[in-house]
Amino acid sequence: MTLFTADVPAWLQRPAKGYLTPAEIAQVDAIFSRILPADHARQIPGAVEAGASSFVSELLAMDAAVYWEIPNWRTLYRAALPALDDYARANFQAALVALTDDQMNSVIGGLEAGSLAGFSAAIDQKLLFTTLRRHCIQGCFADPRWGGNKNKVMWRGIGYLQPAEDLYHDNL
Amino acid sequence: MTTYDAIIVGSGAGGGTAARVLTKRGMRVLVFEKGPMRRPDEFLPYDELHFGEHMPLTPNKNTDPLIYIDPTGKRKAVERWWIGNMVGGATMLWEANLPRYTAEDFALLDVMKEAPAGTSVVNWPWTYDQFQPWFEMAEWEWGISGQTPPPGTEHMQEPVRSGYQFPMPPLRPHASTPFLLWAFARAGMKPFPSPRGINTRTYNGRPACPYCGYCQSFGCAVNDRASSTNTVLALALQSGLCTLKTGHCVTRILHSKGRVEGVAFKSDPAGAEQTVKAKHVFVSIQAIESTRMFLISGIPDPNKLVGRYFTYHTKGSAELTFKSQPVWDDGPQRLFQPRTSLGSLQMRDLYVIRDKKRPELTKGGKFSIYDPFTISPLIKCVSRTGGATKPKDLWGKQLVDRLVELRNQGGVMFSFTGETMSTYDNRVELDDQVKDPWGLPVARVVYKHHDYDMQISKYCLERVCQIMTDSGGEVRKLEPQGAANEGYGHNHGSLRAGADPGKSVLDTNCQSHTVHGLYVLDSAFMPTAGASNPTLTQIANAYRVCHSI
Repeated sequence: MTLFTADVPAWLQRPAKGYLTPAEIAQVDAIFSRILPADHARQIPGAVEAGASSFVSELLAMDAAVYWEIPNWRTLYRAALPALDDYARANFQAALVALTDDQMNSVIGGLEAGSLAGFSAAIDQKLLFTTLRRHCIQGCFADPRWGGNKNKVMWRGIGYLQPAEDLYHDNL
Repeated sequence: MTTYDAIIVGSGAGGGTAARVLTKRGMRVLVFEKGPMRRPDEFLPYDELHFGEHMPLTPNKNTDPLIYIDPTGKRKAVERWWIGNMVGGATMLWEANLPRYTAEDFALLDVMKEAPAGTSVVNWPWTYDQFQPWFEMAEWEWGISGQTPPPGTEHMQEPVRSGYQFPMPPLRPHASTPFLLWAFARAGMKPFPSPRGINTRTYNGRPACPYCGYCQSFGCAVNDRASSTNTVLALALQSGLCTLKTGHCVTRILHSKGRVEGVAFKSDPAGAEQTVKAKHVFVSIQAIESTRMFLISGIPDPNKLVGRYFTYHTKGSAELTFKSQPVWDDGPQRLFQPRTSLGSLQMRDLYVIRDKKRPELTKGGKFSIYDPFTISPLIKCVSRTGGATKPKDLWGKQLVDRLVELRNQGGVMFSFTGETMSTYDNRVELDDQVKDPWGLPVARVVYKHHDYDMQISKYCLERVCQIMTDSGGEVRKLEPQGAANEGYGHNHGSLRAGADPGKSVLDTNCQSHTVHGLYVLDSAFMPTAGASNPTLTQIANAYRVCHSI
């Protein structure tokens, strides 16, 4: 028996299923892997192992009552991921998920500056950069209840609410 | 039918205090609050994404915005993160940083000698000494923890009556405090622990702060942080003389022939307007909103002063990191509290600037000194920090470099609250396009910081950054005040109080010059902005006014 289920607010109820397809999640991972790359030599976990893309997928599956921008983001991701893939194929002859680190850095830097030539005119590049960066940071550092920051990996790596842990080196 | 001696619009800092004082004096009061009553457990679980990023407790900018007109004339809908739509208002979400305004704030013209071109600098019609008993009453009823100035340092923090003590000792210091005190002492400056409306031991039936790390913009589920709801309003309700109407929005102040008659209100945005009468009406819904209420209600304004001389505070921030300092931890026997911003120091040594190289700068401001890593939970910290070679919006290697610094090295962040020039053109007016959910025109703010504001912000930030770099600090972020200001929690001055009805909207008892019985108890009364967090002074003023009705 579970007590108080009727009172659990919408934001605390995990969606049964994420919004993004596995292919879209792979694309988000490819972008996020350059926004917050892992650096295990310096004990910094990356966005991919934190599961920041699952965070986005679960957030997009939630109701607008949880947060009003969610429906806008659904539209944005559904439009932006194919547009970025088109851009990658046109400029690097490779799918978005197959870009090298330097190529992906140049795409993200171009969005930040609003300077990607030939990118879909329907999408505000700077807004897309801001949204991707924001979601990447949220997916890494928010409470794990939202689907990212798996096993509190970022909190443990950075030392938040607890001393930083040695995550990648054997304890000598 | 119940009749009321007074109607109070808003249940926050001013409204709750008014309810307390008036019921103590035997008056029957009716308090209107637009939002719901929220219990402390509704703020659990503490969650930064929900409460800090998605901000469900403040108005949504799509449906209930502020319209901002920037210095270039561009129009923008702004999120009013400084409004708390619930019983207790913004005191439910604040950091309860509660310093007093001091003689330098009450008599700005004495400090500045002359007003910079295009500004209106006036002395307040009251003195710090006159406010002192009301400050003390506010500090004891709201429950302030803090440290009064040790002998010989009275000029370095807010002075108090000889022998006076706050009801509680200060919060546990932050682990950075010994280092910062040492570094500032080398420059002849003396930061001190901030007075806070946060319990450090059981006081008035509420427990001591457990240093949970979730403070500003979060509700306090422990109830150790003072709010109108858990202090003054609770006392008013216990008196049996206070009726609190939640979910009720006052739509107009009713007045006739220079006398207030009551208010019109709705209990449902789609419902019909109803009215209730009283001889006294007290409005306390923050300066922008009370000005909007004056304009909507057609309060006579023969000199075109309603909404004018509006001020936000001059801000500015800086972040530094110290290669020589290991990341702040809680020390032996958990001597320090490293996980929250609460143990912040305040620094008033640049409150008045006397620098021979910059004689044009006189009144400065105050710093709150935090650790950037723990001032707020991680998303905010990481989102807004700067890097060694990039000032903001870090990503990629620069973000990783900064995360390593935040984890390994001690840091410091300065938040400046500075004096702000009052100008006639900075104003609150009614917007002619957007309406709020209750069908009322929203407020529109036209605002541009004076050059003086920007100069003192830059000067004071550069001074503290120099002191920190002299002690091994490296700047990671430096953001002085620009000309634009989209909005801020410290909003004041738009219904200036003064003795001369030709130059002010309210009289010296914060009663409308043109509508007898109508009082304003938020910070709209402040003739100049002052240079500290304004709410304690606003609360003290509410005690003062309500004791003389």
